[in-house]
Amino acid sequence: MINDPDRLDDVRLACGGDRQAFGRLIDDYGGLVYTLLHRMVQDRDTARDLAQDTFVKTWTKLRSLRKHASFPSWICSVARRTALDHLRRIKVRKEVSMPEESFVENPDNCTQELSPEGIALLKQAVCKLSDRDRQLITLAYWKELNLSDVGRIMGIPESNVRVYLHRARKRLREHLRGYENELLQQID
Amino acid sequence: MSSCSRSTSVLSYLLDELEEDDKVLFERHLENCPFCRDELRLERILQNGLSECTKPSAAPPELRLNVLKRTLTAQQPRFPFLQIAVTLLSGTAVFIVLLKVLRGSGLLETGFGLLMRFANGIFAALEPANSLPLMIGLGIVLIGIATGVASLLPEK
Repeated sequence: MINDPDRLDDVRLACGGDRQAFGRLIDDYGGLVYTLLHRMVQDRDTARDLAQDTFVKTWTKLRSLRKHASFPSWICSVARRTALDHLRRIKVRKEVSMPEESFVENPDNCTQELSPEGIALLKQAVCKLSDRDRQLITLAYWKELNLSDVGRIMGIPESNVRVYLHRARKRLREHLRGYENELLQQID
Repeated sequence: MSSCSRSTSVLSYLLDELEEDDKVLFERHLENCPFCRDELRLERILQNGLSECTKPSAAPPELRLNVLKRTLTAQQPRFPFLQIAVTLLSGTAVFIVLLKVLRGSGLLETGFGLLMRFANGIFAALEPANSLPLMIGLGIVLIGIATGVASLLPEK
């Protein structure tokens, strides 16, 4: 959900056909859309093209957006459908082998608690998750989206999002089995 | 301690999903259970780590320019209510013409009593204009007016 009044204003203006405002929305949400697509199609060039398609589709459908504040979840739904259509078209559903490069490429992206080695372990574990678990975990930890948004994007009831998220976290822990002590020692 | 049956509540506790009473009970349990404390620390690490490593990457630099170029040809539908009006008017025109044809052919007289009465009502109201070419003309004019109005409206 959007809480920032300026961003809300941009959505409202874009709905009225203002291209400049739409350009600002591309700047604000381009990264989100591109990352989601990259993690789904696992190819940078394809993700770039699909990100363009997503925004163009969004532009042509903007007038049908009733709740301006739900723009982020709406555009993620459009992106997800665009990616699924693409995958269906090329008849490939890539499971498991997601490249780690689709994660944010910042060498300093270790958390206050976790070292770069710990982050690398975590990324490996996320990469081993199924498509759905990975999408769920990716979306659920984006601050722009709440669990209700995640449910809308994934096409599952909000009440089930928590359950699926718990299960995804459990499976993530299974992939990290044997590394728990290593992770704990990193912050000692 | 190598395991604890209550460790299944660790994630719910971390995500603040426990009822207040259960939360208090679990916090008391945490004080005496090193396994659950370790689990909680680990889940916290994962929570922070996931927030960090699932962060969106930057958008491709050319995205904005390319999209805005494409939006010049991909127009927003101007006024959806006009499209709806066009659809409704076209639908009504086609329906009236169809009714007229069916009524003339006598098909409505058997088994479609209600529809026949409806058709009789409509055509009685339209009696002065009760001829097929006129009805078709009326439909075309309605569609034409609605489409014309829609195309004349300025793009925002």
